[in-house]
Amino acid sequence: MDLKIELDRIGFPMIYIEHSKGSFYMHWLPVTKIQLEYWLCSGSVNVFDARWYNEVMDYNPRVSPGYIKSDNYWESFVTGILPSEIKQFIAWLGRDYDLPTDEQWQAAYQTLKKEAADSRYIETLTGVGSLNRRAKTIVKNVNISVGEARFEARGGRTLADQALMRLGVMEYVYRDDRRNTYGGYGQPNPTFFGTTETPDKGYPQRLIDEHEGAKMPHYGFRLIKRVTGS
Amino acid sequence: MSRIACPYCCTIQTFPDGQVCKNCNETVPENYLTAARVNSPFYMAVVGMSSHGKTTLIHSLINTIDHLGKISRGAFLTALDDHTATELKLIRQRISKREANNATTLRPKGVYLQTPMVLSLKSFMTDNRHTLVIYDIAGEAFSDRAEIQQYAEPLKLAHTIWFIVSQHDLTHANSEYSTLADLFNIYVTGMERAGANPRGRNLHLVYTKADKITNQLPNEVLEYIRNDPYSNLAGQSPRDLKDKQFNETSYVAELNTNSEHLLEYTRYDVDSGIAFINMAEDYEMALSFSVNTALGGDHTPNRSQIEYESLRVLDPLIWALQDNVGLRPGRNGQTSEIVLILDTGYNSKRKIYEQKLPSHFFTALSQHGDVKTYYIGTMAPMIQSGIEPSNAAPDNETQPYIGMILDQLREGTQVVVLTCQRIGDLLDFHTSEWHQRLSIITFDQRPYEVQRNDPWPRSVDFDVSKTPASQVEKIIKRLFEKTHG
Repeated sequence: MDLKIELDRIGFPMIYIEHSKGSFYMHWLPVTKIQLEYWLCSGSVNVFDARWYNEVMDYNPRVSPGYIKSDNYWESFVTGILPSEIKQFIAWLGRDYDLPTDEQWQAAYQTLKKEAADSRYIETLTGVGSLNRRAKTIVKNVNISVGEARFEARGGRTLADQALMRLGVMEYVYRDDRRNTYGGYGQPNPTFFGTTETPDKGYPQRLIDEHEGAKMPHYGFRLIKRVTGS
Repeated sequence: MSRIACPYCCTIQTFPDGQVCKNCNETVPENYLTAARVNSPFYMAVVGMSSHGKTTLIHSLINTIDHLGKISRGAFLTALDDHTATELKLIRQRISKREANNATTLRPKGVYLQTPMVLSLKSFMTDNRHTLVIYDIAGEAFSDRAEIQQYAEPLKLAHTIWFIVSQHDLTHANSEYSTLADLFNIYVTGMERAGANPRGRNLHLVYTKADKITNQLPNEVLEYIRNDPYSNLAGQSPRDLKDKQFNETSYVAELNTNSEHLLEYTRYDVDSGIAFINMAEDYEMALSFSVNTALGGDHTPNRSQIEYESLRVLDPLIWALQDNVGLRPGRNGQTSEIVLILDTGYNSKRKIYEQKLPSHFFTALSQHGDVKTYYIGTMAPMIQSGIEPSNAAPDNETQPYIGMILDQLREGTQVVVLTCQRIGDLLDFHTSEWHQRLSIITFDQRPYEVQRNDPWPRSVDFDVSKTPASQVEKIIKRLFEKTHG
């Protein structure tokens, strides 16, 4: 499979996913704390101050890209955040960005799961000229760390695993086409958060408050970017 | 807390009295101030001798920008003040009636600088709004010692200068400046006289009236001009442009190649072109080139109705926007950019601002290069490069992060951070080349530790009990000796 790559406005990679109901780009990895920090420092947010961000990091501390290892790589990603807060980040990132629907997330997972993991995908991603330098380190080090992590999923390691759709974090998705309710897809590393969830069961995890979500240490997100015209 | 330049008189201030400029008493548009607090506005000086096509280019460009929504999703242009709104209306009318510009009717004799156009451009090349302030300055002003003083302020503010040259008029008209080097010399001398140091600016040479020099331009350049997908954008149907949406990566790649061809053309085929390039390099200017024709052909005063065929008029703007959003790479090895980052945390008021350290550090650092000042945890400079920051403590605390500033800096940039608190993302840069280029000034009577017992190598403790000025000078001297030693 040839990866078609685009960068978000911060320079983090997104990959092209072909989908019958409209193709899209999806973040290669869940959204990182570095991406969130760009937003927090953009001057467009007042409510989300240092105290708010410290609370987010209380759920899941921050690891620097150069210090990512198999027992902490999930600390790169934003968790402990509400969907309503994510929406403000999305509004800053650009009009074509959004959370994926459960159908889009599952379509991406099924597409990537068909391909065996391969280091050349990482070489392709990190070879993009204008990639953010810290994103490059994260992509490389997360791949090495997850490769080292004990991998229990059946069927061997796939491209979906390299993209951390398993052994990453739980990710918010929309559960309905009107984008009013939320669920979760993914499979966190059990050292980080023990759960029996797996995307292979084919439907997202239900939340108690499906309209608001909740701040949870293992719940993060990745975004899609609509392809213009689709 | 941001210090913003009044677009009309260029006085930098915090606008304590709302929207009214404390110097010229003009009411500055609220939209301008709001946008400027998020991203520094982009001040452009468009400089060119009469009849070289400067005003025609600006009008043609604005007419093209007006229709950018056809090729860039969500893009639109708005005027931010009444004067600009009226100007836009006139430009639209003139173009719809196919009237040629007549600069002499637009500008009374002896008036070399028009009221700036203050515009907001959304969703082109970034999702942000760009606030553009365009100063149209007649080249003739530069040769007049008294006159140029009046235009000093816009020239000091402008980071990018469009140097408009009609090579045809330069060689054919009876002008006292007959070569590119002559023109450049008169501009830089004028700028220096006005106290606007030309050193380190982005200089974009725009060859206008390409239709008059088709016999001189290299074939690659001619082909590039003729293949403009966005020629006469105003007249093109959005449907026809559906498959020709603006692709920044490929367009910028072509733009760069064309600039390289024009550099060669200037060097080898333009009279005194080599002297011009050498002079610009001596001033450490980042030089780029573009070529266009705003009208696509000749027009004469007795032919008031003309068919417009503008070609490649967007290119100077794309160069300028690249500069503005930091997309354009620096000139490796020749940079002298220095960035000063100021803490905004609780303790900074007493330890940094009351000691007037922003001024002291700015002055000391300015001896080594062009200083740009940021508040910690912000993405845009608090003030234009080369302008002294305020010693007033900011009203709001920002996040203690510097990564988003470092990520956008060009190679070789030196950074000095004044901080009274922990920097949340410094560890991200611990194993990078920033060790040699990033200095941290602390106020805790010990060096800055990135992790426990792991000090940042270029960390200096500032003793608040000593005289700030001499201490700052010593610190900067030592840090720069370390860099160059």
